[in-house]
Amino acid sequence: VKSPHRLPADAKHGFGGAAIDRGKPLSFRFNGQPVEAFEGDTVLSALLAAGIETAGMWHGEPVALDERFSPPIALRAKAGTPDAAMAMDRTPAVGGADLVALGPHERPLSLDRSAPWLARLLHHASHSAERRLDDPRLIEGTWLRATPLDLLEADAIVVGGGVAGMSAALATSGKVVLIERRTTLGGDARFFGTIGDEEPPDELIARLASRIAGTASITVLTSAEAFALSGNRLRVHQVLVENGALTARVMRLTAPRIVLATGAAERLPVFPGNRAPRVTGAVAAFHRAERFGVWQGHSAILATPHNFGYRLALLASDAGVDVQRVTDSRTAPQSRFVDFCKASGITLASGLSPRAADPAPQGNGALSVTFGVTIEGAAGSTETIPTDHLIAAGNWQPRLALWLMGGGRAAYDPRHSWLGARGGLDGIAVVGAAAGYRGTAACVRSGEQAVSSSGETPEPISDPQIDAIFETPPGITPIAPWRAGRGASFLDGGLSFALRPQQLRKDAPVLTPGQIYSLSIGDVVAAVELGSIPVADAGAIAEERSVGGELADTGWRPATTAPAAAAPTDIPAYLHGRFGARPQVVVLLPGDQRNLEPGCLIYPSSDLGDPLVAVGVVLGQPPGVAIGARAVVARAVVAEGIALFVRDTSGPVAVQISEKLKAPRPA
Amino acid sequence: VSDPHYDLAICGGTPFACLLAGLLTSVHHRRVCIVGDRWSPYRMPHGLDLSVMPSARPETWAMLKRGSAETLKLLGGIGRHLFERVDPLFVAEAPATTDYLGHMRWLALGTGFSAEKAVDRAITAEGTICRIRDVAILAGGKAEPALEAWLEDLGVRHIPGAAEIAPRREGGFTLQHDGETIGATQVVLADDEAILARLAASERHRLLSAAPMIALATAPATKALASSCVSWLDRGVIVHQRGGKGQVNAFATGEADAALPRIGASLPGAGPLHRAAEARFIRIGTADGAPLIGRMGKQHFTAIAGLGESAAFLAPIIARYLAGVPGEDEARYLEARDVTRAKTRASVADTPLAPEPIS
Repeated sequence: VKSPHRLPADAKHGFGGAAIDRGKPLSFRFNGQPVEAFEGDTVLSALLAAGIETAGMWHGEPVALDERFSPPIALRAKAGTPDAAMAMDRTPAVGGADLVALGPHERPLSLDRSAPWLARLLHHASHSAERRLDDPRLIEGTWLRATPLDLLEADAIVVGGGVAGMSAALATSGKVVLIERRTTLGGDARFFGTIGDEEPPDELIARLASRIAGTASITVLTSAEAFALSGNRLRVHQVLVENGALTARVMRLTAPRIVLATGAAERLPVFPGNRAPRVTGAVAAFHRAERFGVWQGHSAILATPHNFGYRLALLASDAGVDVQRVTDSRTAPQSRFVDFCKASGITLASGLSPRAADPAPQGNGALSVTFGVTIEGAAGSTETIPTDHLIAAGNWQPRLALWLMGGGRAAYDPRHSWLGARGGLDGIAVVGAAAGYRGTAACVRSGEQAVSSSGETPEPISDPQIDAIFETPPGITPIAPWRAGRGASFLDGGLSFALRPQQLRKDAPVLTPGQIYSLSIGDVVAAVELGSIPVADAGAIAEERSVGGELADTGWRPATTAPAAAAPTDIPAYLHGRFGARPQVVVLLPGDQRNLEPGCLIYPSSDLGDPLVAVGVVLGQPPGVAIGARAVVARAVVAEGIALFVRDTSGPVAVQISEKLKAPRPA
Repeated sequence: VSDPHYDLAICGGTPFACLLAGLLTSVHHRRVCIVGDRWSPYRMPHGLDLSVMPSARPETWAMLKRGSAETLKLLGGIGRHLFERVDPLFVAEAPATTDYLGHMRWLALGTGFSAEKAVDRAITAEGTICRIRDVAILAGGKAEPALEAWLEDLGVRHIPGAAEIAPRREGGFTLQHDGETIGATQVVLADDEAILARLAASERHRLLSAAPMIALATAPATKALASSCVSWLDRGVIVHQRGGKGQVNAFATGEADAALPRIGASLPGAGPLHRAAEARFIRIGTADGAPLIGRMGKQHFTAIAGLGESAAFLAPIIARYLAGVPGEDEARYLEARDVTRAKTRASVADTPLAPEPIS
């Protein structure tokens, strides 16, 4: 498969792809079909460039293959082992690799064996990774069960290689491990561009990366994702190229200081078809173009609730993309980027947000997009607009999954419409955009302060925003009305596949069938904005749902050694007081040759069977006695010589007291 | 206009608290308000509501028999499908627990429950299993909203859990909520959260214990568990798979690090299960495993603790006791478990632990 979705190498603003080397083409196989790529591509960027845009089907609906969700992959030869699983967006494209997507297939795997010619034909025509996304076994293909390497110790671990994480790593003394999910450091700062008189992000990132490269005490792990945090231990999955071959490993890392510089995720606007192929977030679209020169289709519509969407529209337009229009869910937004777009002749419309994205009649992966009026009290939709690509931007949500996994608290912040970290955790700090900072300088400063060992109270970090008169603040992430029929409205872009509820029902089950896996923080925030989760509960719900990992039989068993030998007259606590203050422990002999089962009740009549009128209980076999049982009975029964019956499964059994046991004398 | 006044303020948000408030209103004609946070469909449940619980006291089995029959009749009148039927397995592995379970089975059988010894090597090869058939379990997700709606129909006022409660000099209590003062003659702490929130550790009765717990839900399992409901007595773990297949809910004592391996080991044959949700919280229990009821703390709140998974099914009996009209055996049962009878607690202790010598 060629690469139909690449921008020209000389596209403006670096949209030709800074990470790829077009002079070094390569080819690998994915699900049997050849895919062409360049050195520097990830498997995901290469697949998207090649037009493989669908992850699979979810209850009959195609779901986009993108940075929010892509099925795990493995080298075909190792596909059966969890240790070999890799993430598409973190796996470098390597020439000659033969990769397959893991997880349940849309077609039976047996087809590959029974009719290989047909399988090749189907693969050749496929634009999909062909996973069944509505199958609970989807998760089974991941590295959650991979065997971790030995524990690595450091003085500090920084998770996230954006400007806050890089600053934190540089400010830390001792052995530092810096973990970055992407293949290069830098985070999302480039997406936002230069704000005010701040250092331009490109220069800042280059400066920090250069210092890190020159600092021997900092170990950088790229293509590495921390996926579990417990106490001061992290589990990290990393994809590497060793001797030209792809490999994956799970590491356990520990440090007394852990800095979470995990950034902020872009929320998914909620509308029917919001996870269809060719619907992309603004940050993802920026990175694809800026890193890999990937842009799906020739035309695009940009729907945004914030000013940075306009910046992306400008960059894309300059790079040769036909930006059909920019819609804004806010009314009359003010921004220098709005002015620049107007000056560039881009069509702008405010007070509109996506109502639906459906497959266009002409096919070729194009979309038909409908917008709705977001002005309060007004209703109505636009005509359907065909486009190659809908970039649907959302507001920001600090990435707090690890923080919550580690036992951190969170609360919904209505000012920003996000869940923010609350309180503290020993040895764990949240910095940068994950802590809610928005300006680059504030992110850098918070990173620097996170590991300050001066012992002094850190200075408050200033995070000034441009006055709302000049730069309208971000609006909330748009949510469209529910629509019957095709086109699922997902709350977020991850593995949970949580759906927008049709009606808010109080009796919805705790996990609805559509909410198979843990709810992401984005799911929870969207549910809050829909009114289906109370604001006061949002933090607790996110804490409860932000778990990961698997449960497996670890072989744990309770200690079953018998306690120290008790005296023959001892009785367990639950029999105290049952048969008077001073019951008698005796040996009973049954009328016939049988064993009396411990726990059976003893009655003064064969007609009785109500436990409330029992006069004793069989305790068990006395040592050295073949037939008979130790029992505790009411003392009056012994004194009066009353006939006794033990009731077991066969009915009442007459028994006689053969011996009264005495408590041993105290030593 | 005088402040509103209630005979009882029931603090709690569990089905037991709701049933108690509703019964005191509808059957015993008390003026009742309920103080607590409303049920949220997205929050993790902190336990199961089963009509039986482990006990080696015959009087407890008698109460369960009567209480569950009344509760099920009541639930049938409140709504449809508010409870389901399961055949829970109780598993003992340690020798002392095996003896306890053996006795419990004979008590259950003698009280009229369908209890039997079960053998399932997939669950335990060395331990013993007691299966009790036809046990009711509240349908989580359906029962809670139905009970809240029932209380609304009965006119039971709901007051948010954040309301402040203080004793009045002349007796009784005042509840402050949203600038309003509400009076109550008696305040009942009807669940763990209410006890934890309203009684400082120093004010709790010495027999009350606060222990960490976790509740966990998995993604749907591809296989059915060996039994849909299993209580592992020596592991402190209860697992429940609703509908016989699919998502598993598990509850375990202890901190997460210790509890998770025990839960994982208590799902034999299920294969690896993805953890979908988890809640960590504090469970109030009693040191001797027996229920504890009565006034405690300097504010003299009435606290009810130690009813285990069966609290909801004992609600009719507790309601009669609070209304002052218990049956003779009910009064005897609950008075023996009153906080004022702490010195004679040995006669109600309900735990397989620590045999005590007698003369």
